[in-house]
Amino acid sequence: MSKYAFLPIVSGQSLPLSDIQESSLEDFRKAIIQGVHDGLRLVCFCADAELRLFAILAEDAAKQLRIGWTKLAQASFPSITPHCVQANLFEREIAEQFGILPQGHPWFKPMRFHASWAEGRDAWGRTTSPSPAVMDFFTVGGEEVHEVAVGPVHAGVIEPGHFRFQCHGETVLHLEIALGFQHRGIERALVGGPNILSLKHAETVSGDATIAHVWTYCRILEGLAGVRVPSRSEWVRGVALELERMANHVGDLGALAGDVGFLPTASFCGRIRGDWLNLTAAVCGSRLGRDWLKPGGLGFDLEPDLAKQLLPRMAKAWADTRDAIELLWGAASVMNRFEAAGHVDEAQAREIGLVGVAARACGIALDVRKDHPSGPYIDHPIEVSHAESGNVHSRAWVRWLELVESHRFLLEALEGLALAPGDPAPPPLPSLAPSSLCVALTEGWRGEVLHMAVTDSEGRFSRYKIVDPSFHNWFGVALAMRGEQISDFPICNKSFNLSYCGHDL
Amino acid sequence: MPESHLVHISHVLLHLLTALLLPPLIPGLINKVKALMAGRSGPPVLQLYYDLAKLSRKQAVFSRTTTWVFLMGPVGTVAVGLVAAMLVPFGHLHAPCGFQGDVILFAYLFGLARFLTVLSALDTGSSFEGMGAAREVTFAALAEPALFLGFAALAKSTGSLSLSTMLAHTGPLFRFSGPLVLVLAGWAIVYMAENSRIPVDDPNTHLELTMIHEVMVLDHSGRPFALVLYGASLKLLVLGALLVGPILPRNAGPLLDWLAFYLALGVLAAGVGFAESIMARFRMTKVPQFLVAGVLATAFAFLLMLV
Amino acid sequence: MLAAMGILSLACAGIGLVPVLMAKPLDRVVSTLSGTEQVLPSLDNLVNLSWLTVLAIPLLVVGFILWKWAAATPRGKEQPTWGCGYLAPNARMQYTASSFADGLVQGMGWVLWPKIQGGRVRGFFPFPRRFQSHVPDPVLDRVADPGLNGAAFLLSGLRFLQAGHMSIYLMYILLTLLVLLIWMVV
Repeated sequence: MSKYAFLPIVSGQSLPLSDIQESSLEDFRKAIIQGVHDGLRLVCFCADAELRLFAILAEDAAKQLRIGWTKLAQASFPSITPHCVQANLFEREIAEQFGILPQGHPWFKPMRFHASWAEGRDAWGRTTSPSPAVMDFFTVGGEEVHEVAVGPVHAGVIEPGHFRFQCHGETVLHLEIALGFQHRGIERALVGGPNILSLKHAETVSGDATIAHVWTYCRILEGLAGVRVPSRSEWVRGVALELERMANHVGDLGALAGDVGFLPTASFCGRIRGDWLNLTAAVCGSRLGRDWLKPGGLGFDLEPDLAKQLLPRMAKAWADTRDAIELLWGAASVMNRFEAAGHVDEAQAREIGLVGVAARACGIALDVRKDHPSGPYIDHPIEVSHAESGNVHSRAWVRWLELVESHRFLLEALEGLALAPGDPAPPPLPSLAPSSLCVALTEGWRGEVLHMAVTDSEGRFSRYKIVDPSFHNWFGVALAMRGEQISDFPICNKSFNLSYCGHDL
Repeated sequence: MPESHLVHISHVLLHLLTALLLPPLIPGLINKVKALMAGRSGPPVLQLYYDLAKLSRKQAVFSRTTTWVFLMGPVGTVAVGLVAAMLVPFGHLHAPCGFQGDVILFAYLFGLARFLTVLSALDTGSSFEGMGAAREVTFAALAEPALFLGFAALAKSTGSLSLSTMLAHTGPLFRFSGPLVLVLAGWAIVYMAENSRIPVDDPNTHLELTMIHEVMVLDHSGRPFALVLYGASLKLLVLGALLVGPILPRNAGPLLDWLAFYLALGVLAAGVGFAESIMARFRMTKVPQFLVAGVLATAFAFLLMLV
Repeated sequence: MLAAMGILSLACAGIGLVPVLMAKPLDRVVSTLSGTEQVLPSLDNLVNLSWLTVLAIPLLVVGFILWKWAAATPRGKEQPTWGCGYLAPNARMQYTASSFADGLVQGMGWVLWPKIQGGRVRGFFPFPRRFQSHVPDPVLDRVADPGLNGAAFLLSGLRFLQAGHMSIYLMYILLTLLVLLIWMVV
């Protein structure tokens, strides 16, 4: 008997639901609380239409996940959040989607402002369609405090979201973030799939992380269908993912420079990001990598000739990238701004379950490519980049280290692919295993992307759960702003650069 | 006699025309330099003229919460800027208006403009505009001593309280060169702060939470906004004339003097563009330290003039 | 309240626009304070005040013309103040006077010692709280008030001398006279 009641499983593995033993609600709660207390992370916690609760804990040190489920007798359960902060948003999501009440939740507010999926059961007793971000916000009372309400329409070309600051003078006493403007109902649209639209839905979970989500989606299908992807195709997928990382990290560093008014890096990076995106476009015709990956293999193979052509283009883009970003580290005025803002300490980060760049910037060496490796990362491991201070500078620095590491990976991969002949086009997938569950993790450029699918007796999705890294990390932005200058919010927010639509689904 | 009269009138006319027509060119120059430094082609140098023409024909949206005070800011900025422009010597000869004590009027004309801008910002009730107004007055309180200590040093050197004399005849320049450098350094800081340039403010940012001047005019549109933009460029010109004033020759003949003036303004604009291209903005809490450095520079200049 | 403020601001505008009228009275005040000798040069000699009035005319004229021009702008639909498109703005989003002053108050914190309560929010799910700040007057509240209170406290020890009996007060006078007499002799 293992220390934890939940069943061990690895990323990408599929298994029949009957193999996972149902826990009692009491054991289920205990397993989560004890697991998180022992340093495991709650990476997924969701309900389905049959009042089943699923939870997945990540045991990173053992390179495995632990999964458990329980069936509720009525539409409520005692909240876990008071004992485990990581459950906060998950429980609010469960309440909003299925009207299941987490009793005793300390911050019980809607998160996406959509009507309940369960007919006639709303956790807040709402009867009309809710408006996004219209709710009771936390307030610091007193006549001297002013609230700053930013969004949903922002001054820049970014996604809609509402930020509510409680301020006195320039100091932020508290920040609360209300999203939901981008809710499209992707999880619900995937139920009953996979169908012709499912791949498109997966691609558009968060457009700037297309590859990360599609790859995760593909692995879910391949797991459930029991298909193995040729290793060369997996390597090409790795190239796609790392190119996406390069483009976005370069763009982020440029945007950070722009936010502090440092023009050289800002204007160079805007162009160089385009160069990286164009490398993706050279393979699949889409700068965002649409249609590049396909369940079972690739939509567009990276032929040896093309790989040879890409090498000099990448060398040029890399040289430009290095020049532009080294300017940043050389400018004292920039470092001064970066180091002063947006601090999150490691203990806080662990407790709220930060992932990806934001977690690594706090000194938490967390990376799916190393902790739950799959595909190319098994044979070609990457070094986990991390920094210590947890401020804007650390998040920028981690991005730079990852650029270096990704470039190394890309160089090795393209040189390898230039020698290996292409794979034949993948055959159509066989039908999916019925009444099964599969979970897959991918390290997108923002962080850990998790998809979990449960199939019904005919092999169709009865529940498809997507957890974007932004889901875990938005709370980190709010914490990083406490007691800081409100004028530092833009760089702080940009240093996380989270996805609104990835959160809103 | 009538001929010299004619010359004088033509100089005054040129001064007026410069004050009226030249200002929008300066932001254009700055932006062009910034664009070139960043490897972009950037907007045309005359962009602000086009913008002003466009804005003066556009519909304006007025917030329901605003009153007549809302118009005071834009109108006051331009009116005050034009009058202040009449006090500063530009190219050749004296300023069109000059009298003993006009330095104080000059400084407080800008104080008046700031007061009106802040009032019209607060008139909207917006927390963004309130933040901008608070930042503006806080930083102005620190920029003003630097301006005045510089004036004091120049007044001591020239024995005059009139800008025309103080700037055009800086007195025994050899004795004064050390303090003059300090005064100019202090005023350069004031110039950056008053005109909301990097490193104090970022005129190009779109982030309302970090802006100082721009955020105060968030609710202005149409003609009032045209006045705001024009007023800001006028300030660039007038304070620029103040900054380059003490170092212009002014005895090389009318034509060359005016040429030198325009050239100096061009160099100043390029300098601002260059500075903005190589450094980041300060953190809001560091700005007071920067301004205090300006105060100290001019204070040293004044002390040196006393000994 | 508004009328009083209006009168004061009109007076300010008057002094600004026609300062010549104020120069003579001010000089008189200075000369009265400084006695017979002339310590300061007359304001009129130092600064050419009538110029201010002359320049006020173009200022007002230009201002008026621009005002007319700006006010004649084609107007769109009236909107609320820009609030980033949020659907449910409320009055707490208005800027506050205390926030406006905060920059200078913090900058001068070493003199003003502002008192702040509830400025720090702790915990992942904090409870609603109140923020309060107060800037005591550095002279009245920090020096004069405690100083006078201290003096009052110390001097209250002498209360017993004040009995309310005429005869005792007469005795004080007698004793004082005696002391003075002795002091004179010594």
